[in-house]
Amino acid sequence: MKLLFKFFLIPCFLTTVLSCEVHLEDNTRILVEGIIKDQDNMPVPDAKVSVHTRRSNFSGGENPYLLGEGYSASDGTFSVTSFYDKDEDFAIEIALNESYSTYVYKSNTLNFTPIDLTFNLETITLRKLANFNYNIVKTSSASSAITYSFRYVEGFCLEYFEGGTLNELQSVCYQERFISKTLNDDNPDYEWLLQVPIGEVVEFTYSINDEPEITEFITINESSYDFTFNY
Amino acid sequence: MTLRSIINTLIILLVFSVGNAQDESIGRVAKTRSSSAFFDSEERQRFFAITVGGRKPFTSGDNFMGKGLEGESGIDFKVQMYIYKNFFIGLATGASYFDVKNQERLGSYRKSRIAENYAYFGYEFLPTDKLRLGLNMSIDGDLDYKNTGFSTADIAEQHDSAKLNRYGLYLNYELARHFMIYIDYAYNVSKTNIDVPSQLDDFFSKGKYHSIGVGLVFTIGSRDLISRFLN
Repeated sequence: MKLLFKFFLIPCFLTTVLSCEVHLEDNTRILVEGIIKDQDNMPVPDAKVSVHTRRSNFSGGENPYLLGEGYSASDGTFSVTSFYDKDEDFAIEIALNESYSTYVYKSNTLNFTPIDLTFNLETITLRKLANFNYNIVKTSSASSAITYSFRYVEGFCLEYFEGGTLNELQSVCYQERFISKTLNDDNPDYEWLLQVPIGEVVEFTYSINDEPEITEFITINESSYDFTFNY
Repeated sequence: MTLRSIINTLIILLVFSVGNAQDESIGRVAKTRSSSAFFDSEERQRFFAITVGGRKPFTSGDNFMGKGLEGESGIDFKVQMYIYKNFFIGLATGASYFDVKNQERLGSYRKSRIAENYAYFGYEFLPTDKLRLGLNMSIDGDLDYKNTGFSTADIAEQHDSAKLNRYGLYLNYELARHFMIYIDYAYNVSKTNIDVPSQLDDFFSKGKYHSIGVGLVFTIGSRDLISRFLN
């Protein structure tokens, strides 16, 4: 009896409790529609519109819980039919490629069904992104150190909706990011790539050998922007 | 009368008839006359016909089946009882298998299996000594769409349901007294119970598919149901 309990009942219990199975709503389809434009108000064709459930992590990687998928037409409009799931991490993602920002409509649908089973996202703006490639290089022969930082706008927009109403506190849309680093003789050079919406200003602040900070403002006006700083 | 009660009644009658069938047919052979009529024939009368076969479904129309599914294969199992002369009622169960060819309009899945259960009635004509031409129509039918092939194994399946209206005809060729082969055609209209946005209502409310099938027919008995009570 103990063996039966150990080798059969416990695994059955664990399988039941830890099951990851998703039960989509039977006899239900939803419609996701809208129009995609860029920052110049021009339509964006061929952008991928995908409907997900259990989409909690946006830090990268494909989410396997795909319920519906389609693409925007030449005039930027899209209309995607999808299954529906009652889940606290229901999301609609709109992305084109690395040259454009990504938009995410996220909602808790556990107790929410949209009016007429339609998510009308209206006008979604995908902003063109620039590759801001910065390169900090030590050129002086003397011993020196630099502390620098970049303040920039991230090319990502997540809007969180509760019952169809935007919750700005939980939304993260084109948020300002801040990174900083110190370089010295042991680690003198550094190169990195940031993706920044075209037209935004990147704030570069540095201090060499603990001298007063100096700030430069860099307007990103081309799709590939190389920035090199020597110290 | 529910489908279940019809099934129970038919099973009882089928069991009852099997016991009598052999003796009855031997007796009939002795008094067979060489008459053959288009509408009925005493010597070609049967009590039950059991049909087993396969079919190829074809979707059609501007609806979710015609635009979104592509027929692959199917199986059929039918039992029909001759009530009076060649007027029959029957029960059928079967399945049709489809591939999804337009996920943007249906949702992100790859396969659909439609389980069909229906009762039907019809009449069988006798155009030649070896052929039987039957026309039938469903009385009460249910369809269960099992949708599978999602992007993750955690979403095992999703179900849609529908009512079936089916109009069919078949041609049987008699190889032996109680053994035939058949070819049949059916036009199926599926009235779905799927909740959809109002602008998708026309697209999802009905699905249409045709089917062409072949298979085997086994018959039992040599008198229709009512004749058993009259004579």
